[in-house]
Amino acid sequence: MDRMKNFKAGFIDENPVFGLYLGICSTLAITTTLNSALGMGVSVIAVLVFSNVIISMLRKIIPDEIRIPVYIVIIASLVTIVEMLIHAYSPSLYSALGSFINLIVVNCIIMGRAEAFASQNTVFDSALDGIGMGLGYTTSLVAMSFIRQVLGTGAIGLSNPFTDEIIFNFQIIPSGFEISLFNSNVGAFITFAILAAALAAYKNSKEAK
Amino acid sequence: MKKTAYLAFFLAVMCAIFGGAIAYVNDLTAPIIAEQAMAAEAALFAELDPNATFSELDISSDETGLIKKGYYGEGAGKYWVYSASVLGFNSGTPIDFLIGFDQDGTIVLYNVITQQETEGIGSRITTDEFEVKGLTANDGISPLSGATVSSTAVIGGINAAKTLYAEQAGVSVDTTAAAVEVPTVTLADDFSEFEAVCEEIDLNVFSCSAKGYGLIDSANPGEKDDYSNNEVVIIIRPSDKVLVSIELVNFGDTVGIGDKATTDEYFDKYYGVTKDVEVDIVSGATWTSKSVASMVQAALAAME
Repeated sequence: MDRMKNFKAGFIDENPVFGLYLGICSTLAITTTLNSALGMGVSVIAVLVFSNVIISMLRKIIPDEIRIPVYIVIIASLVTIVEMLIHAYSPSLYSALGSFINLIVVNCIIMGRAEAFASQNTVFDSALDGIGMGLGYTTSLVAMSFIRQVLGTGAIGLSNPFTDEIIFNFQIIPSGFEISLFNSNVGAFITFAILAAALAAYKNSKEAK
Repeated sequence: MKKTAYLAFFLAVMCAIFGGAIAYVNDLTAPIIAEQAMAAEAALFAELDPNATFSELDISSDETGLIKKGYYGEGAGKYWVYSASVLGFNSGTPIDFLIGFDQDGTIVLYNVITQQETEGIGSRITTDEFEVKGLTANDGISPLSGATVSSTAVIGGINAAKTLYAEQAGVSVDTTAAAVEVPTVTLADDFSEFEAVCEEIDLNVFSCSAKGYGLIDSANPGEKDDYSNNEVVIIIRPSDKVLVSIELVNFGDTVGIGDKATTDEYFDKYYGVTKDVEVDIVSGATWTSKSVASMVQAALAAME
């Protein structure tokens, strides 16, 4: 198997968010700031990699009939652990993401990769798949949150989630000219649609060549 | 059958393993999370006494269920702080607030942390207009007129905190102290002692003048030289004889006391009044309030 191709699949060809439309619920909800997008992305990568690795390790002993319940037990446990860690070490991220951390459990990307990939591939490949898909998801979140934060608040900033120290903060659009629509749900759908369309157009043009 | 038993067993083992993992992480993180929650609230009452150190109180004797947490602190003084959560007008989001007492029973802290009450109405519980701070635990607290539901809910929470405070600070507190009603007068009352006079200086515009506390009731007659008439300009809409504007021209009563009844907020209560209606009195500034009311009455009478 071509590992590099497998790893890169998550970014363009099988981009989970804009390509496969998976995990959209949290994507729409938390992409208001770069900070929550990155926090969510990293949380999902952690859960995805560990669930892929564990499921891949256990793939030969998990009875086929109850594989889905077992996956759910594994994923839910990992999410709970990640949630407790975020709550303890990054309260600001915890309050920004709120219940969307718990909702990682039902993020279809994780269940999808467990069923479609980890249950049939080696531990190393599954880990790689988790990182690739997770990064694809994170990139999508970052792209969306960047657009929404710049247009919605006029500024782009990032702070250290553990200390709340501001790493950078640039005012791009002078205040008074920001489009607060992009902070709302409507703005989330608009941004999502435009990015999904852009990715589809890119894939089409590549196929045409 | 054997297969089913094996499947159940396998799933149970998986649950046990991962349940154990969660329990382990919970053991690691729970103390940190608890510490943070406490630090976050402690930051809110650090203003009370920056040098005080706080520890958590047992609040299990609270029978109302309104008190969520209690803290005891020692610094320059002793403090009992309670965080309460009550339901006001907005039944969806509770009003969460902190209420703190010192060793003398004075309410030294009242801080609304979150509330989603109606903006401009119930939200007045967050303003100084809702007088809580500075009262003692034995004082009744007046509900806000016009925001009764929200303010009464908060008072219920404060009373629950008083009960705990009495028990934990070992003092006796009268939690049944009747709330002081917001005093009112009607514009049909007799204000003759204020000797209000109005002169129509322009069409429907009245320049009014009346005595206040200083000229009528000052305990020290020698001080009367420092006092003068209160004066306002009032505009009345002729079509329905409604007050549409009242502005202060001269304030003749005690600065710091009577001027609570000449603020824009107080004057706002007069917009739209006609004769005979009821208006609030500013508690602690009764004389000046009545002086203002007497001038409004005189202007409305002059319009007749």
